[in-house]
Amino acid sequence: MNLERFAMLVEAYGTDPGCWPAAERAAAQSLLAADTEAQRLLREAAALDSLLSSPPAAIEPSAALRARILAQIAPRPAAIPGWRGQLAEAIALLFPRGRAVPQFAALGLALVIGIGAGLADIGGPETTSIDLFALQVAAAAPVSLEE
Amino acid sequence: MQIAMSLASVGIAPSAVRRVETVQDDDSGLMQRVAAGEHRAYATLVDRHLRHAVTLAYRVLFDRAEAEEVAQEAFLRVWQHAGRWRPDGGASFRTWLNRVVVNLCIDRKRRPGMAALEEQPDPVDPEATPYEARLAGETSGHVAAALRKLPERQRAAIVLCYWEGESNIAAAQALGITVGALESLLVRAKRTLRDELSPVIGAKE
Repeated sequence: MNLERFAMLVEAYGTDPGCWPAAERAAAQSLLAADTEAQRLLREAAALDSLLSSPPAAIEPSAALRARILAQIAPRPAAIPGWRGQLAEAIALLFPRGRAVPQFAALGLALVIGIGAGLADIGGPETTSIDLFALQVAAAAPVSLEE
Repeated sequence: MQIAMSLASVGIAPSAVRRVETVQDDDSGLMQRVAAGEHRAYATLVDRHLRHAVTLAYRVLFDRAEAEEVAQEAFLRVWQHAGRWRPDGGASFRTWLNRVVVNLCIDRKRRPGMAALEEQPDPVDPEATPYEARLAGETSGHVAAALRKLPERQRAAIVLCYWEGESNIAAAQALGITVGALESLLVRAKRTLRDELSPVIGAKE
């Protein structure tokens, strides 16, 4: 503990040794006992510290605040169900009881659109395969020549 | 011995009382029970720490209504994050709660609209609430005004170290900074306070 560190402790934590870092308290107190400059630093800091020594009184929380704090917590959601439970939930979401018709209609429409799109695209892959075939022949040609 | 005898006289074995307190009723045990969704454990934590939380928030914000909102939000986070809180993280529940409260106070001051309110001088209200009146008596108006001029983090550092009696390590943890950074915050805060309060300090000397 040197005087510089002592000055830093007093400046940061104040004049009460109880507020100094526990690891440095004993060394700082030894320096204070022996060094008049350290004692002067402490006296200088005392005026400001005394102004800070009376904090605003602690607040007694009102019963209304306590009630609000207790009321704001909701029951925790149930634990995540196993795969059977999750499947059942998914089915229930897709086909809620009494409201099956719109879901079936949507599913049917999606199927029709999907199949239609598939059928309409039949000509496409042939063109691509021809191009691909030509490319493969071209790529293979030099090898054939070397042989 | 006397306590043991009096407990025995009401039919409670002292060892049973000690076991219940250490295993279930310390803050870590309560947090584990809160994580499991136990409302009674939450209520116990609230009763144990609400006064501290609302006081800390008040000393940082200097506004009782805001301090109560911060305390309420802090305990909501206790409930929501109890499962993620680990007692072996090096910080006590109180330090963790301090951190939540301080962060909420700082966030609150950053919100749009708050800055404009902060700029306004605080009127001397003849109809001050009893609490503000008490505050004026206990913390001089000069000190309160000087503290209000500090950035929130510096004010929180002063409040934790000088008023809440937190160790430097706990205060640094609550602010989410190193001890070195805490000392730097405190030194800057004290310099500003000394400048602001120099007329008062001079008068005292």
